[in-house]
Amino acid sequence: MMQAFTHPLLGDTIYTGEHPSGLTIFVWPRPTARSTYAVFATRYGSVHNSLPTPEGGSETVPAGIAHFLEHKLFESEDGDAFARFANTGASANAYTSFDRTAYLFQATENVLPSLDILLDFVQHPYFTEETVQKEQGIIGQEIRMCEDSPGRLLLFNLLRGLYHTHSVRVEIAGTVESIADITPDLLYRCYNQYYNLHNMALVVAGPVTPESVWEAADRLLKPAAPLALPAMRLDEPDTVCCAYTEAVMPVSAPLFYVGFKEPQRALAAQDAAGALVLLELLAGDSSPLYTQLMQQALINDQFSYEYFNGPGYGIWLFGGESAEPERVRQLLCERVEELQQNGIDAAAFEAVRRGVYGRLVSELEEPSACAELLLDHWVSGMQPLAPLDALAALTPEGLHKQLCERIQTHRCSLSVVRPE
Amino acid sequence: MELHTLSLPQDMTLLHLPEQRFRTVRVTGVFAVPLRQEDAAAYAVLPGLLTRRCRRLPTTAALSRRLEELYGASVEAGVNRLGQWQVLRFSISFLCKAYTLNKEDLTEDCTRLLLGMLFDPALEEDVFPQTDFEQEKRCLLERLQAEINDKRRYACHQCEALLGPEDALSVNPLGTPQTVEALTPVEAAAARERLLSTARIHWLCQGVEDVSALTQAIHNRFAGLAFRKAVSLQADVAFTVKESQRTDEMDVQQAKLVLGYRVAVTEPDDQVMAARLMCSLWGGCPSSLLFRHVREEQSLCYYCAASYDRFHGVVLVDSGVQTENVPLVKQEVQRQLEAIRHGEFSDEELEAARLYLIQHFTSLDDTPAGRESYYVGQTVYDNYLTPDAFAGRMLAVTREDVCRAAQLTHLDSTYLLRPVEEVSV
Repeated sequence: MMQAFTHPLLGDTIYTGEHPSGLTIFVWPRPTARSTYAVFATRYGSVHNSLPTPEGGSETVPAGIAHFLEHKLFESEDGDAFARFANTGASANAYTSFDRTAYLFQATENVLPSLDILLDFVQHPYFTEETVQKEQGIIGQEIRMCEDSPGRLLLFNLLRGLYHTHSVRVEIAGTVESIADITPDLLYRCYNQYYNLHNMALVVAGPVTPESVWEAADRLLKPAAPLALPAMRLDEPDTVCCAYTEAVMPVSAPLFYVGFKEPQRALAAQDAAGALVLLELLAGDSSPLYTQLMQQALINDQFSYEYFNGPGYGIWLFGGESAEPERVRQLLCERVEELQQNGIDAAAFEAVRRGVYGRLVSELEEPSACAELLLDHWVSGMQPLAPLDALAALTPEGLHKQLCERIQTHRCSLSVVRPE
Repeated sequence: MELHTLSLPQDMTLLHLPEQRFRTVRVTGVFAVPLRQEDAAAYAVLPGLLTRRCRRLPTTAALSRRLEELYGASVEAGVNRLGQWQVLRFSISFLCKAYTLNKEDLTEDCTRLLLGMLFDPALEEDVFPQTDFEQEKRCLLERLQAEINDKRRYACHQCEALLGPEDALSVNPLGTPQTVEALTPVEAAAARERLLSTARIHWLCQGVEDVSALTQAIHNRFAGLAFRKAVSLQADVAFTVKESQRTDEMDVQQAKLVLGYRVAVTEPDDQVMAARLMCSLWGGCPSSLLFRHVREEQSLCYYCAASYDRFHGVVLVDSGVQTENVPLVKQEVQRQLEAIRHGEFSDEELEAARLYLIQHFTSLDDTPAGRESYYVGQTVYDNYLTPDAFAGRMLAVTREDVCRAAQLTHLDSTYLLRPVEEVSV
C-alpha cells in the first residue's frame, strides 16, 4: 500500500507507493480545495528518439512521434476521450515535453469517474492508417502555428547552438515532413516500449483520499511486465556547437536567449534548489546586473531566466528583448565570472534564499501546481519536495562551488531573432 | 465561499474573502477610470512606475531585496480593459504566518508597502524622476510594439478594432506608440493624482479574518487627499451590425482568421448567462461544436475557438489555418452557429458545455489570484455572484435561452492575416 509522509513546513501529508501493476502513485490530499487535478505520465518525451530492433541494435524514429502519440491516444474505436470527459465535466488535456508525455484532467465534480476515464484511455491505444492521416493534418497546423512563434524559434536555435548531437535539438512536434513518416505500426511500437506502467506515474492532488485513487488503480490497471528501456545515447561533448545563431522574423525588436550549457551531471535536490537561488543572485530584480541592464536600456520588463534539465542536458537560460543582445551576453558573462572570483555575499544569499522558499511555498496553492511539482520530482528521480528541503542545507560556499562547476562562460551560446 | 462587501468612506468598496484555507494572503487595489484614447497611456505607465520603487525603498534593488526578506512577497501591477473601463490593479501577495519559518505575521509590513507605493512614490518636486520615467516609458512602448510578436493575439486585436472603431473596444489600454512617446513625467504624476481622486476603487482582501487594520490604513491614506469623488459612466454599447473586412499580409507560415460577431446581450442583462453557455457550446470548450467539426472531423486547424466579451457584446472566433481553407472554416463556423440557432444540438452537448463552464469557474476558487480574476470583472456593476451562485444561475439556463442568444449573434467583422504572396481569398 501507500506510505505517508508529512512535510514539516507545509504540514501536508503526501502518500506514495508502487502499485502491483508497476505504476508509481502519488496522492496529495488537499481537503479544502475545490478541484482535483490528476496527471498520468510516462517518462517518454521528444528526446527519446530511438527504438530497439530485434537484432539488439536501435533505430531512430521520426521526430515528433512522442507528441503524435499523445494526440492519438485520445482516440479509441468507440470515439474519443474528450467526449467521455465531456460527460463528467472534467477539463482534460495533455502535453509532451522534452522528457515526458502527460495526460491530465481537472475537475470539481465526478472526480472518480474522470480518473477511471484517464486510466482507461491511456492504456488503450487505437491507431489506423485513416486516423493517423487525419491527425497529420491537425498536427501539421500546430507545427505551422509554432513556426510563427519567435519564442520557439529562439529556443530551438539556442538548443542547436548549445548541443552537437543531443536530441534536445529537435523540435518536440517534429516537422510536417517528419510526421509524414509516422505509421500505426511505429506508434504501437513506441507505445509498447515507453508506456509500460513501470515507466509511468499517476499523481493526484485535491480533495481525494489515497484509498480511492489506489482502488481506481486496482480496478483499471493490469500488472505490466518488468521493463528494460534502451539506454539513451549520451555522447554529447561538453563544448557548444555554435556560439551565435541568428534568424529574421516579423518581430518588433531583437529578441534573444543567452544559454549556458551545463556539463553533464546527475541532478540532485541540492542542485535543483541551488539553481533557483543562483538565478536570483545572478540576474534577479535585486541583483546589480539587473539594475545595470535596465539603466543602460539593454533589457525591458520582459527579461526572464530559468534553469531546465533532462536526460543528458542542462541549460541556464536568460532571455528578453534588446537592441544589443551581444552586450547583454557580455555583461552576463562578466557577472558570472565576478561571482566566481569573489564568492557569494552572505547577506544577499540569505535574503534570496528566504525569498525562494516563500515563492516555492506560495506556488503550492492549487492542486495542479502541487501535482505537477511532484511529477517533476519523479521525472528527475528526486524524492517528493526534496528541493524545498534542500534549500535549508545550502550555504554560500556550497553555492559558489555549484556556480563554478555548473556555469562556464566558454560554454555559452546566444540566439537572436531580429526584425525583418 | 464567504464574501463580504463593505462600503468604505470616500466612495470605495472592500470585498472581503476571510477564508484562511490558502498558504498566502492577498491584498489588491482595483482602480477603474474611463478608457479613453487621450489618457490611456498616462494611466498605463503608472503600474510600472509605482511598483519599481518608492520613497522608503528608493531603488529597484532595495525594494526587491525587501520583498525577498518578506519571504518572496510578490507585488503585481497591471492594466487591462473591462468594458468601457481602464482597470489598473496593484496587489501584494505574501505567506501566511503559519508558513513563515519563525511564525511571523507579514500583513502589516506588506500592506504598508503596497499603500506606500501608491501614496509615497519616489517623486522629485512632485513629478517622477526623469530617469525612472524614461525607463518605464521605454518598457511600455516596447511592450506595445511587441504585440505584433504574437500573431494570434495581434489578429484578435485587429478584429476588435474593426468591430468597434468608435468605441472603447478599439482603445488599447496600454495607449498607442504615439501617445506613449508624447507622455511627460508631469502628465504621469497628474494621472496618479486623478487616479487616486476620481477612480472607482475596490479593494480585495483575502485570507485575513479581521480587516479593521487594513480599512483603517486605507482610510488614513485617503483622508489626506484634498478631494475625492468616484467617476461614473453611462453604458454605451452599439448594436449596429456592419460587414467590415480587412486582410493584411505578413511573413507568416499560417493564416490567422478572426471572425468578430456582435451579440445583443451585455452585462448586466440576465441573458448574459445564456450567451456564455451558447459561446461555450459553439467554440468555448474541448467538446464544443467547433472543436469537433472544424478540428476533429475536418482537420482544418489546430485551434478554432470562440470567446465572449460580455461587456461589449462581442464573440471572437479565431483560428490558425492554411489560406486555402479560410472559406471552408468560415462556412463551418457559420453553419455551427445556425445549428445552435435552430436547436440542432444534443442535450449531451449542451450539458457538457454547461458542466465545463461551471467547473472552470469553480476551479478559480482554488487560488487567491484565481478568485481575484473572478471578482474583478464583477466590480464593474457591483453585482457579486460566488462561484456556487454562478453555478446555480448557469443550471437555470434553458435550451431555448441558448438558441435565443445564438439568434442575437451576427457576423460583423472579418480579419485575416495571411502569408505574403498568396492568391487573394
